[in-house]
Amino acid sequence: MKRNERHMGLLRISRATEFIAGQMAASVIVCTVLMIGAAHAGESYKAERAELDAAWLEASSFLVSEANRRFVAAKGLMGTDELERELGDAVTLLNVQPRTRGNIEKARIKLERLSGNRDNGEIAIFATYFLARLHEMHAQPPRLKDARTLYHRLLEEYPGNPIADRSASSLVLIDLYENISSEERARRFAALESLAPRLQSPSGKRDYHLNLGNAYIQFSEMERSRARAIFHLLTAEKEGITRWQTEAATWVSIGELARVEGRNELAAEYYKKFLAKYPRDNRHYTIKKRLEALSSGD
Amino acid sequence: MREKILNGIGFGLLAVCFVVALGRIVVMKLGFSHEGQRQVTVRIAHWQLENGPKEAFDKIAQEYMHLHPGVKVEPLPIPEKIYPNWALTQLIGETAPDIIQVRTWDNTLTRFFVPLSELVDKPNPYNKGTDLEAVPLRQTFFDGMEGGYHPLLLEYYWVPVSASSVRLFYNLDLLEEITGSRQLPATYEEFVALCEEIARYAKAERLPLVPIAGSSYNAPFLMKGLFSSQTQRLSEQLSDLGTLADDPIGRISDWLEGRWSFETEAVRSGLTLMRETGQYMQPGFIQMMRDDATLLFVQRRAVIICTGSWDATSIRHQVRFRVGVTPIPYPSAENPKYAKFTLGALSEAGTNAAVSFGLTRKAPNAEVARDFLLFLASRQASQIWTDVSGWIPAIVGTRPSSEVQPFLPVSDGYLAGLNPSVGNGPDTTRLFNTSLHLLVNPMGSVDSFIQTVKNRYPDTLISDLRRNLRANVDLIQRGDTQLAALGWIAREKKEAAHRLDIFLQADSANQRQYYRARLTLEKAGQPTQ
Repeated sequence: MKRNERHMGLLRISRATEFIAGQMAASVIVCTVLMIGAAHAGESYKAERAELDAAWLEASSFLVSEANRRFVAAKGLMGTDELERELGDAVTLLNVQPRTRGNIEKARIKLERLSGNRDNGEIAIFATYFLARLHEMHAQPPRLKDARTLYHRLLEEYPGNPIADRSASSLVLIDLYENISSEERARRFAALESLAPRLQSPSGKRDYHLNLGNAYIQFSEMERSRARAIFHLLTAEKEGITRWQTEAATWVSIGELARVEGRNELAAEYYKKFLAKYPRDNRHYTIKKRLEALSSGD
Repeated sequence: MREKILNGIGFGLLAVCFVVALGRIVVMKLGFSHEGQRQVTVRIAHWQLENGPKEAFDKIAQEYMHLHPGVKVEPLPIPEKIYPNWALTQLIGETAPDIIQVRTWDNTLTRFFVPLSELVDKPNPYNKGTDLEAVPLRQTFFDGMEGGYHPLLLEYYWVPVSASSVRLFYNLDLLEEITGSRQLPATYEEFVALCEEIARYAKAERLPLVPIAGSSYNAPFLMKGLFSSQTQRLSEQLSDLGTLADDPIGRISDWLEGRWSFETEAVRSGLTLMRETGQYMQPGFIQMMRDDATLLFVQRRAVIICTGSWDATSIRHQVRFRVGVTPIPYPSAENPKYAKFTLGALSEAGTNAAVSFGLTRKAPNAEVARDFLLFLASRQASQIWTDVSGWIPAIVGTRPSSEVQPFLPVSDGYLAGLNPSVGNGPDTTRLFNTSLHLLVNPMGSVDSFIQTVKNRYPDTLISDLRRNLRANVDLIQRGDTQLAALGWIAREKKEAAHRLDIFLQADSANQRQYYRARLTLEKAGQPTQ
């Protein structure tokens, strides 16, 4: 009896061991399968990611149709990647050749969908900005009112974002370069000046001030236009002008405005900067003569 | 029987030709040289068929092959007239040579050319042993390689090898024969006095000789330059203290607002100057072509011709007389008639390097071709270029020969004044070109020219401005996809952030031009679409 009991006990232990071993083996198999699956998924994700990256790269090099084909082919990604893909699809549709109204309309629908949900984060900001650009530059005729509304929305909802900040420079152009009375323009200048404190990104601030400064030069009938132009161009320069053509033009403008305003020191400073950095510019000799005249007190 | 033999010989010759041609194709395909070595062939296409450049390319190719025995560089000179269509067909058909000369700024370039930006900040290995050994490639060009930079694509795409300028060429032997001196005029007054003397001489001697060889190609070089000297002060008065740069939209806007017209004294003075100069060219010159004017000069039937540095070597090759070269002479400060409107000679400081070459995307031997481009941009190749072609070199420190010296850009000079026919667009240019005979014909006058042009001028201005607006919209629209892509990439990649920043500033500048053009049309009561 005791022997039987011992035998049964050993049998139970053996079965239990078998069960545990089986369970362990199953677990190992499941884990292996899962790991292989995860690795496959990782690789597949990497491949999809690489496709998206390649598409953006092509789009940045004007290979728009090629980029669009990649974005379209990658349809069905997961989560934010799918939103990113859709954004890429929309912005490339704007320039897929031949450019058609149908494509612009498709792009509008996609951008509207993406911009509608603030949870989409940066994708929503990009979508809203390019939707505004679509209304402003791609629609026939331009829908400036819609563009203006979206630019204002970007400034209000996404303060400090570089793309959203860029809206301010567009608003300057849309609002001021209209065939309106001087009084109305003065009112608009004042409204646009009030946008300055909201802007945080250096590029957003720079382009806003550049556009305002140049608008004061264009609409010289505005009160204290030269002084305001100098202020805005100097502020833009402080934020960092990195394109040489813009830098050369801004320095010449500051010098010229300061000379006429009688701010000779400032004029001389900018003339000298220009002469030192741009010896191969057609304006070089003219500016040199201006500086000589300033120095001699003519 | 005899016929059969002849036919047999004919077929035999045909078969031999076929076999030889087939053999050549096989050898070329397999890439073997005559010595049986494995060989890489780099083909470089260009349209510079003038005397000089063609030989210079051949010599540079030989030098490179000397350095790299396994490489064959094959320059392909293609006539300029068929070049654009030929190049496009080759590019689309993916049969383009490895390197081709380019002059278009079309954004579609990316489809066909490889950016060379990765090369520009590194020293050129072919400058080893020179003072440029450690200098980044970009800075070895006299213009900082601006001539190779695409301002919209924000990439370097081309390697330029030369530059150009416009000059007056004189037949020194004829000049000495007529005036007893080889002294060349330095001012407009001296230039006119010389032309008068030549005209008197030709009349007295009953010679078929004119002071200046003119044509629809050559005359505008001289006339437009002189015209612009008369509107320099006017342009300063009109300037709204902007950038002092040429501003076609501002010019059109000012005209529409009545700030200048053809009755403006300076504009009339410019037209008078043009007419005055035209009187010294052969009758009917406006109907003549470039070759007609060159022929007149090389055949000693004109003492002077105005053309570009690109014609210098060809002219020197064709003539037996000595040739003198000067910049265009402008009215001096003492000129009683013209001085009050002018500031002085025009600046050439902004001259960019040109005659540019790009590496094609489907280049069969891209690596070797890229290396050859570096050689082409070296001091050694630049010296060969200027010595053999007689053209201006693009690489700093290259010694131009005494024949090239007079063509080097003159930096000391003022900005050109406004010109009603330049920079607005094709409609305005066409109006001027088709009416020019009224100004320069002996029976014509400044008044008859103005009467004809002024009524049609507003329409052409508006249509050119609308064209300008459309071009700007197109530019901005095309840029939007690139802007979005750069913006997206730049969130994580610093190098893209710099490109984005430059792009944003270019986009702002384009947008400002667009809105200015739009407002000008609105003010003129014109549709903006």
